[in-house]
Amino acid sequence: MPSVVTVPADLVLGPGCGMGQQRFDQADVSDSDGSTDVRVRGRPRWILRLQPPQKLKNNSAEGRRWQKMILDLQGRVNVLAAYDPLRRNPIGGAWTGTPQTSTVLARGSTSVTLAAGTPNNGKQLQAEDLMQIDAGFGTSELVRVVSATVVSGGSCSVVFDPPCRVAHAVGTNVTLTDPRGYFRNNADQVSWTYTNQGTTVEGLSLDLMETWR
Amino acid sequence: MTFDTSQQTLIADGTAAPLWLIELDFTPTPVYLATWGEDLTYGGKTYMGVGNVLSVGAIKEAAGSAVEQITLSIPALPSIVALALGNVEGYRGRSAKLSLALLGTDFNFVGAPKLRFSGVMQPIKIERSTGSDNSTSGRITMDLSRAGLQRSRRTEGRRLTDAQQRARFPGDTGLRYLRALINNPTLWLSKEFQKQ
Repeated sequence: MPSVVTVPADLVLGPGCGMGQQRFDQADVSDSDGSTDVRVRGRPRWILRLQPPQKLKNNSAEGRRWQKMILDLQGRVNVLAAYDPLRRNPIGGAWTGTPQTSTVLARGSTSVTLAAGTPNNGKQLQAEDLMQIDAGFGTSELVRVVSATVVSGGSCSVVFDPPCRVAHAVGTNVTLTDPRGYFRNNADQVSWTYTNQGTTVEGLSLDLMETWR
Repeated sequence: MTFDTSQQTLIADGTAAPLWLIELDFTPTPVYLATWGEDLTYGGKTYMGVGNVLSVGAIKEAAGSAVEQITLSIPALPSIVALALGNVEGYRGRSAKLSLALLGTDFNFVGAPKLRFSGVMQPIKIERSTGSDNSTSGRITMDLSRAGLQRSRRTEGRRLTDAQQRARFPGDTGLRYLRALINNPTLWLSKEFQKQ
């Protein structure tokens, strides 16, 4: 079982960060008329790019935190629990407390009813907000909101994607602040460059793909 | 092989996710594998998702007595490699089944998996190759063949001998003079020749 390295909540992230999704579809295209047949070959995975501000002071605490995080991944051996740096909260603002599922989520589910509590009445998750269902490597899932109803009476319904990979019981925590996925480094080699006569360091970055095993 | 209605609909929609479910009857513990990126459960069995790390050779069907073989490239998972490189009597000649399954857009099974091949496991092979840059690569492969001795499935492999006849039908001595007749051919004189 790989070790989990966690991105610190106060890690300084630079403007080059980004997120996306890798799909594994096989498309057969006809040369004669362009018709396309698609076969899904695997579940889609989130991809994440993290990098600090362009220049960090060499031997600064921030620089060393970045180096430690990158090297602790040991290439592709360990996994990184990371969040989208630009979607750390729902676009409508942070919610009070931690919502929980009030319905059983079977494998393949794409909708859930959340028990969010009456302090969150009137709030509504928007499309492309991120949710982390459950916690822990291999058991939690990072999904995006497709649509959601307004919280009323402490409860709301949410449609999400991709479908659940595993089943979740009633009362499972749903994280809306810093929802994390688990990622593996795509590179076998990591390096950084000392610039300005060794006073600054550049080139620290991570290209990651979601993993659950 | 016939797909059921739900599977035919999925295929027609162009959104089917096909994969192989592989059952290998290793002793002491059978191994269940799936060519999918995550573990799948069906029929009370959990198939370990090894993705495309496991490759399945082409399944061919043809009339005739030729032996049909499929080659599996075994992934370098410690549990599987340990079984495969262990006692060959723990798996040689034991059951191997390949079933074709379809997953829908929710990545759940659609319809029942269809059995496409049922055979037995043969001893593994280790293949090594050297690239033009002197790099080496290797893979562990296992052939799966139809049940029964390969010799028994090839008509050209049978011999009409006294020993084989007695082995199949104890006490049958009908071929006991066969070797003598072959070794010492006797010229038979025709009636016409004898009248000369």
